Amino acid sequence: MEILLTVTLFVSILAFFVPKKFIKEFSLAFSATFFLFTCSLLAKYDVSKDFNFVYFHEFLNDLGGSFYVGVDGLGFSMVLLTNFVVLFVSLMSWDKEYDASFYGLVFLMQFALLGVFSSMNALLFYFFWELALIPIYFIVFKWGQGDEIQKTFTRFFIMTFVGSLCILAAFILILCDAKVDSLDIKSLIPVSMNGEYTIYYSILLFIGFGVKIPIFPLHSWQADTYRKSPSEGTILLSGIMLKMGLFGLFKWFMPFQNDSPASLTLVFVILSSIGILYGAFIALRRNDLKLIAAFSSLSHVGMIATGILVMKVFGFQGAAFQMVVHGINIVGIFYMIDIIEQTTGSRQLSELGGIATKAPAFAILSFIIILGSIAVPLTNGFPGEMLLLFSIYLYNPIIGVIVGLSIIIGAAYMLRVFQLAFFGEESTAVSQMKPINSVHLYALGLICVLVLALGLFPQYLMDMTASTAQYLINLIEIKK
Amino acid sequence: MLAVLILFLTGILVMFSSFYEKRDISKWISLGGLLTALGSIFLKFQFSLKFGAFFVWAPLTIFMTFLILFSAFFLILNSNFNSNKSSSIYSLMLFSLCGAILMVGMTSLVTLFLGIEILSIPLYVLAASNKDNRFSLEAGLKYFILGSFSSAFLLFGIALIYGTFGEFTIDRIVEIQQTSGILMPHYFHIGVLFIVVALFFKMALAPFHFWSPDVYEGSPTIITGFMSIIVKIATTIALLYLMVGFFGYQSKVWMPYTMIVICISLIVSSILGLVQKNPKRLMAYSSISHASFLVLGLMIAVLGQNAAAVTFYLLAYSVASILVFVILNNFSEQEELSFDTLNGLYRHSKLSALGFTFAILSMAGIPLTGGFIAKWNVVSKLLLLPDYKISFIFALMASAVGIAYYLKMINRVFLFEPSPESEFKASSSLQITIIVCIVCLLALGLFPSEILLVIQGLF
Repeated sequence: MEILLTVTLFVSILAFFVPKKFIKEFSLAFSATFFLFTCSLLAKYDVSKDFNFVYFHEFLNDLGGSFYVGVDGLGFSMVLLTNFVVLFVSLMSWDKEYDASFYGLVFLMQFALLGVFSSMNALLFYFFWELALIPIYFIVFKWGQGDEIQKTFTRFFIMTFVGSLCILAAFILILCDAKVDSLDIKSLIPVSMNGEYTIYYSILLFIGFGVKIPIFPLHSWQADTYRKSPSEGTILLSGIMLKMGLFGLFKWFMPFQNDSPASLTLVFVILSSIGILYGAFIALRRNDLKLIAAFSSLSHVGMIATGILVMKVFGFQGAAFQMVVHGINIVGIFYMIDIIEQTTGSRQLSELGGIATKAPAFAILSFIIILGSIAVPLTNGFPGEMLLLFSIYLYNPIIGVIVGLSIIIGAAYMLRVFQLAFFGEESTAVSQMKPINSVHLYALGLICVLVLALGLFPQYLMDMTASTAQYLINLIEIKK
Repeated sequence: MLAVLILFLTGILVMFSSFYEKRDISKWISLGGLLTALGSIFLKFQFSLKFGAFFVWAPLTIFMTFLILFSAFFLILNSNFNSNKSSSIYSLMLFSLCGAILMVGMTSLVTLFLGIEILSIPLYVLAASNKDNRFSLEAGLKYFILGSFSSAFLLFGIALIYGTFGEFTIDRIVEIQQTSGILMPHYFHIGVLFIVVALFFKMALAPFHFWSPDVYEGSPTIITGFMSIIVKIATTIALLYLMVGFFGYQSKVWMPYTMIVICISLIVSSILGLVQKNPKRLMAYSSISHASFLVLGLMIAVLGQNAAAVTFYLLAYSVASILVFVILNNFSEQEELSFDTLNGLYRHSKLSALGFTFAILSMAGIPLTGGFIAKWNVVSKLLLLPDYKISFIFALMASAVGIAYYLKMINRVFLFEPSPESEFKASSSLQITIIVCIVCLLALGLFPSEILLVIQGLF
């Protein structure tokens, strides 16, 4: 793990100095290497251990910190997902002109994300968490388009930064509450808390992670930021930054959550399930493809967050599975949108139509991705969604039924997109459509393969994440 | 003590150097003097004994003198005053440094007063040293009038305390308090409050901050940096001696007021910082916020924890401030600095942009920089203060708002296109300064344990 971290940091610094001519080849080569390297680590991954690839080094131990990294099943799937998303960022920008600094920032982002998913010390986690914010801010700001970008991205930055500060405050409260010297996860979790500040840090952590996910009342940065970001920034944000929040809920929120009163949990669950329906309904009415994808993503991650918060083993399983799947699908959808925008010059539904006759292969691939996103059986969306709904139903049948509606709405808006954009009369924008570079088609094909493969054989990923779910459940049982 | 002598003699020498036509000679003489003084603080042979109960050459004094001289060295290295009046400016700066060193080594209230006056009086002149600029003159006058007012407060406070004990020396006063218990006459408490107010004025805590934005804006940039770094170091350390020393027994009396002052300062600096258009004014508000964090660190020092937090904060703050002011000073001497001046610094000089960003991130308290560790040291201990947990919330809110205005400056540096007529050339001395400061900030951020260990050894 530490090797991967050091190498990504090194590559990110190197990337700033690579001449513009080679930068695309450079970034593609390295991102592919990282991806393959992590894939090869799969073979070494030992499911029976709680944490794999552990590395410890003293660092900031006066403050309770340490350089303590290692991954559990969920963390490792997130590491894989990060490398996967970065590979797709490199692929996606193949036709475009970006400076070397763009790729440098992307690799820096990758470094920070890998750190977030593998740190086993709360302070180290916070370091990486904060570090991840800075490159993405520059990426979306410098290469974003649209009006008032400064306002939008400043709001994005400040909201997420305030969220991080909430997390920091919560960690300080936990440190004071637990009366331990170290914020290492292993020394922190077995300690029983005083309970003096439980409610405060529960709420603070919920806000902190909720901003990133985003959960309903904290989502206001999301739609505009997605719309105005460059597509590469959007897939970084949606594919992997959201997972930071969910991952935080898993690893740094749930272990401290079982002391807090049930009514607080209910409030959290209701808030995040409002987001599910809210996102779905808004997505039904939007015209801009990126906005639709943004709100659908709000809806999906709301579901995942609810599944985590209800504290059931199915929920943990489903959420862990769905986090990976959502990462793959949303990257696919934004990739698709980016291709449409690059070739036709528009991403407004009203200006599109009839892409299927122009580019049949692209249409088929897009259709598979859309099926995955609406959780049709045999695609990857299905198992996770089913487990999540089941767990929410177990927690509270009423919420379960209401949330279940979102699946229908989800199908409605996604199929609407497909219908309006790919079928029907050829619009003027589409009739001047440029041919699609085959690199992009192969990339989409790869995503489709993953969509189908995880739909047909979900068990492999399930086994990996099961250890995390089981670990959390054990923890909750012990503390009770 | 040797350092004070060397600085004083160099100051006199620099005054005479204006007879020579050669440009810049006074700058190099003062730099030489500073380096000699820096070297001399490590010598075993010091004069401190001669000064008896007035001055002590303790480890903390050595450390802080080092920090003061270090900051002053880099500020003077990057100064660019007009040569015809520069000699007087440099000599005044050196005299002012003498006062600062007296303050960090004081053991008696007399030295405190002497130090503060020797530090401030040259600064009044320096603030007005840009004679062509109306704002500079205004700054000087404002600083002078309000500063003398606060000196009067200080003197009155000292007089009241002398009236209680018949003693100036801190050690003796502490002894008397230990033997006679904590029951003290009311005028002693009033004296304590007066001294604290006078020093808070020097640190520009709200509601004693009204001079600082105007003075920061009007003074030449290097002088602004000098004020915000040197004065803050000297005053904080003086407060540390006073608060942990003989006020410590009376902490119930002044602590609530201090907390109120801190909370007001945090609110004022956050809200007013958001609406500023001039980077120097913004730095004034940001320094108010940092001063409140410093005083929070002092609170922690008083209530039984150690003073390492506040010392570390001073370190991180000084290094970041040097960077900011040195870079701001390097912009071509146009009429007025504004945020537009910062536009596209990245295109002119990548190193300066990087240095500026590092400094700002450190001030905002982003991890990996010294500022984060400094803030963490202070904030994480606030919950241990039994009665003042509320300050935890204020401190966090101030950091959250702080990022909003710091971000504005970073946006300008990287994401805006420079205006065509703007120019920015990073000289080699500036580059050296930036590299040294970045290395220091990173070292503070990545290896704080080692540095904290050194700091612990000072007390």
